[in-house]
Amino acid sequence: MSQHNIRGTVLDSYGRPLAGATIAVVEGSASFPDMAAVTSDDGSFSLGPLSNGEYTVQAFGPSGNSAQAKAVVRDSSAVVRIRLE
Amino acid sequence: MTDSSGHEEVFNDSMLESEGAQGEASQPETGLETLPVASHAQPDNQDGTGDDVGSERAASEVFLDPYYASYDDDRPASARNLPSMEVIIGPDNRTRINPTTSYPWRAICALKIRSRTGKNYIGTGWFISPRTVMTAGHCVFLHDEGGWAQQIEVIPGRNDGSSPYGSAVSTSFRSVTGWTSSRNRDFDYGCIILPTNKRLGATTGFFGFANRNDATLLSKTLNLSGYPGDKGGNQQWFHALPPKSLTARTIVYNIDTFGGQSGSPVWYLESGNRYAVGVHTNGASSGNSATRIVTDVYNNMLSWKALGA
Repeated sequence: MSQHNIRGTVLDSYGRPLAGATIAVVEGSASFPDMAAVTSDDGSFSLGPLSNGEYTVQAFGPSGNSAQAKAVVRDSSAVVRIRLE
Repeated sequence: MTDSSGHEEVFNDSMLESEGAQGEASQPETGLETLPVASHAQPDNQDGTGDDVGSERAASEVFLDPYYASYDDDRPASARNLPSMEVIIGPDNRTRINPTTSYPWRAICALKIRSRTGKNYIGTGWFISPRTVMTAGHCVFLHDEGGWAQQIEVIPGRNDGSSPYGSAVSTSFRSVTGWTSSRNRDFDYGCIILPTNKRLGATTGFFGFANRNDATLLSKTLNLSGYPGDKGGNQQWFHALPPKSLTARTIVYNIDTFGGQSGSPVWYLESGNRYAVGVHTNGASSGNSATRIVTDVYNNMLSWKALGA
């Protein structure tokens, strides 16, 4: 079974990369690992391995704000950018 | 990995039933955990060698004697013979565990995972011996992030900014080739071995674990507690429900979880004894799930337990 990742960047309300944000898959058309990622200094993260399907990821900032994004994994990794307001 | 236990104890279900009858409680019990009073609304290895530990035993249906370790029961004597009572209250299905300094909560650990590619993750683990912490396979071996984790910090009973039992950083991990090579969800389990001078589980106590047949599992309320990312990964949150369904190697349930709880123990409580029966690994709209402790998993856990004794 083909498995890939959801990769991307979390930004703060100013559009700057946000380090230390927590992000996880919260919904999917397939089963997903229940591990959360913490964004690196450049705001980047990677979640997986994921089977082909549609997923929703949710990021949480240090101040408790959060935002979601949709991602479609189809034979390759999906890339998302989430901006916390 | 070949069976390193040397001997497999097999007990049939009727023996389990008779043992249960001998020690039956004088009052009906719910099998649910009593939460801390202050709670409110809740072989593959990496020691630098990377040698894989394979899981080769078929998923045959055997029934093993419960092996448990309930450590330092600090309830008052008058309470020890009482059944555990349900105290989850409120609309939120999850309940925060606060404080985390009583058993079994203190035996559950927040994990701070660093991959070889420099990525950071949150997970959950639980002690099965003084230095062995069970968790999900994908917490110790990250397929697309360099394989074996670079290091994992283990923090028992983590509670916001508090690490009441300290912490330990490990670079020694175990899993099975069903996960590390095959990426098979049914073999998604592993463990962390703490350094020899970090016997944190000797203080917190550790979980027992068991292989149970379908009928037994379906009759139980399953407890799950871990460190969800939507709460920052530093608070322990708990929920309990009966299982929804079973497969030969997984347990499926509607217990509420969130990313970061990968590796959480799934256990049931009976006559004051706790038996872990699964390792939580996956979320899904059709039901969250755990890798089930079946024969080969149980045997590997016995070996790993001995490594961290």
